[in-house]
Amino acid sequence: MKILRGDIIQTSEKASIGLIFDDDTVVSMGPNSEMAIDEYNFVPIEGRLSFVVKFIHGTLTYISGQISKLSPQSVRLETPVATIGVRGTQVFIKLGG
Amino acid sequence: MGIKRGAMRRKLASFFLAVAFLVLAACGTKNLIVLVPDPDGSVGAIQVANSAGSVEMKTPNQATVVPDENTAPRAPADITMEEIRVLFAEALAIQPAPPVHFILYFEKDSNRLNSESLGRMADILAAIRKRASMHVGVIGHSDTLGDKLYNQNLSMRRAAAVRDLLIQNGVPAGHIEATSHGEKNLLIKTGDNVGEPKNRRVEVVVR
Repeated sequence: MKILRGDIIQTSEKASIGLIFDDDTVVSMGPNSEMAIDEYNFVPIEGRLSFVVKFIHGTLTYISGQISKLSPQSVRLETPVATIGVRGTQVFIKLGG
Repeated sequence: MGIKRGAMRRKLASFFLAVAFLVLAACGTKNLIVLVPDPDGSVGAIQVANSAGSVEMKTPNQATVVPDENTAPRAPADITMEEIRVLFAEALAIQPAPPVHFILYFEKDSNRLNSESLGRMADILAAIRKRASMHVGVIGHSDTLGDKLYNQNLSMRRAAAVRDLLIQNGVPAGHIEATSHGEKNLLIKTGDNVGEPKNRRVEVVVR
């Protein structure tokens, strides 16, 4: 299944999901989680690079890919309580009780 | 002495337990952000910010709590691998392994792999099997020697040669996506009309 910019990804109570982006970024979410892909650009030849995800609730793991290496300032994980800028690493986020 | 030591040990044990509970209690509060090393062991940095303030995190296995959007992120505190595994159990269980990249080199003006790269096919097939991969990207490239259009075609023939080799070795055609970039995406930057063996290549990405 291909995922496009603007897509919202939700998991139900008993589901979880793993995603691999073509710049090697890896994201997974546990049950009762929701995220939206706000921006995804990976065109290194043209210098178009960005990764902006809105994570709304639940649990999420993120492993940075090439966008984070080539253009760290273009990677943002946005949540309702804070924005997380990422420079080449793995981040886990849990929102809500 | 023995008794004293025993008591000391119990005290220490209960102290550690108390600390463990405190950290867990902190995690129980809302909105936790944890910095973890990459699967390859390297650690980067994150910046957690909202309207009330921000914290920079560089030390792995530390967590910050953000109570709400109007409260600054708390100072980062240590978190154990065990706590991380419990809190993120389901998301970790399904977390895909990061893709593996291989680069295969070709002979000049040819879609024949050089002998060393031919030997690497076994590693690629092993990686595909190990991950039970259903998405293998094959991207052909050329150096800048000669005509652009010719090189576009050459890089396509190189990608096709690798795709065919994978298929011959049992990888279903539907799992392979072959594309080509001609001379537009050089590994070693050169001017036009420059022969560069490292640019005559196919990149294989096992996802």
